[in-house]
Amino acid sequence: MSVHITAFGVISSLGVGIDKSTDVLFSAIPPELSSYEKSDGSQAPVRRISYDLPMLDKRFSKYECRNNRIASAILKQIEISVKAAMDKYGPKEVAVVAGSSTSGLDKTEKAFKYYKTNGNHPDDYNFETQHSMGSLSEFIAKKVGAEGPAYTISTACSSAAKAMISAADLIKSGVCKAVITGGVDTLCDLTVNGFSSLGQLSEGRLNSLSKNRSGLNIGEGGALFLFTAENIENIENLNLVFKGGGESMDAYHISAPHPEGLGAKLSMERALKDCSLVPAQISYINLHGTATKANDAMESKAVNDVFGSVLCSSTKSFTGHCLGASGAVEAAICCLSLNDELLRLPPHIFDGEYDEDIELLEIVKNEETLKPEFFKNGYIYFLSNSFAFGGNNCSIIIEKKRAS
Amino acid sequence: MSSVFKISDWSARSKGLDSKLLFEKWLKEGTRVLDDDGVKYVPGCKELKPAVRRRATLLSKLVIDSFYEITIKDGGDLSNEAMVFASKNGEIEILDNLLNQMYQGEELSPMDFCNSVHHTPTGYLSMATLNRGISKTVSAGNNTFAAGLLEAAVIIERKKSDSVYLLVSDLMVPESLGEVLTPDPFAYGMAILLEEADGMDKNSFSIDDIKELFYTDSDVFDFLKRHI
Repeated sequence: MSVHITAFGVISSLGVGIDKSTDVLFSAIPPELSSYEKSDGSQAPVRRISYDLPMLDKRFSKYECRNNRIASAILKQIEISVKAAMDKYGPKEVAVVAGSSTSGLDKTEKAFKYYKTNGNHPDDYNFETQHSMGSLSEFIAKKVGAEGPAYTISTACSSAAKAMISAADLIKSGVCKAVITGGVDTLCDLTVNGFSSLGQLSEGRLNSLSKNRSGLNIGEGGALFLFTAENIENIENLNLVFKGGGESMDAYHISAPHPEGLGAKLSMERALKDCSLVPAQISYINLHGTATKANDAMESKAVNDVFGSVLCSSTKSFTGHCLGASGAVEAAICCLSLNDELLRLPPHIFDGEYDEDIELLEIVKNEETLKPEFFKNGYIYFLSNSFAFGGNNCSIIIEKKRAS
Repeated sequence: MSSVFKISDWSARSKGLDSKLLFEKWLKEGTRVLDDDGVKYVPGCKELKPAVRRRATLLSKLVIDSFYEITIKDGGDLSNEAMVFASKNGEIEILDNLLNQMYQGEELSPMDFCNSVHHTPTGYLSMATLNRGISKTVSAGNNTFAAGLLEAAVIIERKKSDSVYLLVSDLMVPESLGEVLTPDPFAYGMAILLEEADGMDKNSFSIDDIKELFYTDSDVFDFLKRHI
């Protein structure tokens, strides 16, 4: 059974929506970095959404937080398709499984400070419907009127990718006919200062695979997908399928990845097995590519061990590391590349000084397009990696039906 | 959606209820012997290596101690088990610590930050057992247990594993973080072994039964009482 990607929407520092994101991505010029003031007064370069996010409708005021505003703005991009799915299947057959690592944390931070100063919380603060991880999925369900199961997957940087696997499994096992899935995360003091305390924030642009790489730019944003059990009438068929995915644990360390990439290899191998594919059928890999010393070293080894030669790139130089939403934002990037009329692949933007101490990957150059041999059988497959704290790994595969 | 499921084994921990026997007595009779000493209960986790035990969070220890009670007797290989962790609020005490550190103008503790992610217990458990299997973490407010049970059942239904360890744990929410309208009775950790049942009987349940939980006020304690 195929899980159809019937619609998707995205917001990140690339911009709002598929068209804008496509234009900026293939311009090969990442947007200007924004600044975020850390607790010590110094500035961290981040990837902020520059779009002015409107407050939620009064009916949803108890869910009001930046994370849910981002979700609301993305839902607007897919609302016609979501309505069509609701009309076709009925609300109880539409579930929501989204990923997040921050939820409304930025609002909690402000409420906490207020409490410490005043002894009570602000009137507009609600722990259960704004802070809690479950808030994202609950809000999405209430906003669209979905009445199937609604829950959030929260495994730090692999949250959204895992949510998408769960969503597909719900459809494949007959639990429901449609799922709104993906992920959303928001810039906040805790994540910026937290990664700073680990020495993992870059002082400049994220520079994955470079010998000069020095860590992350934290980003914010999200992508939401409508997965359905079949194509929906009167909705344009994107010919995109969520083929499947693989998951694994490193069993190594609470924050550092296994240096040999054992868990990363396992999640990619399991993804291939889940999709009944062989490595040679993958034409592009969107790397986790966070530009930390440890991640890039182990991921380059793991990719080479499993695939040998395959075109790949880290798009976090454009979007920053959107943490719990990164799997969704990068899946959206895969989808817009798969749908690109010019067959362009997401370029790997860095300073050009490949780290000779790590394994060599075949990186996507600016304006590089899909190789013709990948059209032979009419299907194209992209794989996207997401690796998280606790050694929690996930690799997903997206299929595009395309004759030429 | 043809599978039917059963709870093959389970255990849980809380203050005054530090074994399956005592927890089951509380579930069935409501009895709990509690020392009102103001001391937080931290399970011993004697099976953990000292280096892991030292770093593991309270939430992790509540889950791990329960998990070991139902697996230690097997003495088997735990390297490829499927696990689902269900927690409404995750590492809420560590978050409180971190927010306090920021409020006081202190540099954040790197260890606290690493331990603050929602799924932290799954990391420590995988390190302790060398488990490299599937691991999911869910949160859904008062439907958190239902979501965890659904995830676990679907893993079995999709034949990704014959069994799933469903781990459930929550701490009390510190006052500084806000009000909870329907708080848990206490901080607790639980491990449940879910497997496919041979057929429908009074203790087994289907995916449709699990879906129904999303529309009721049933929590993990109600569910356990009805299915063990």
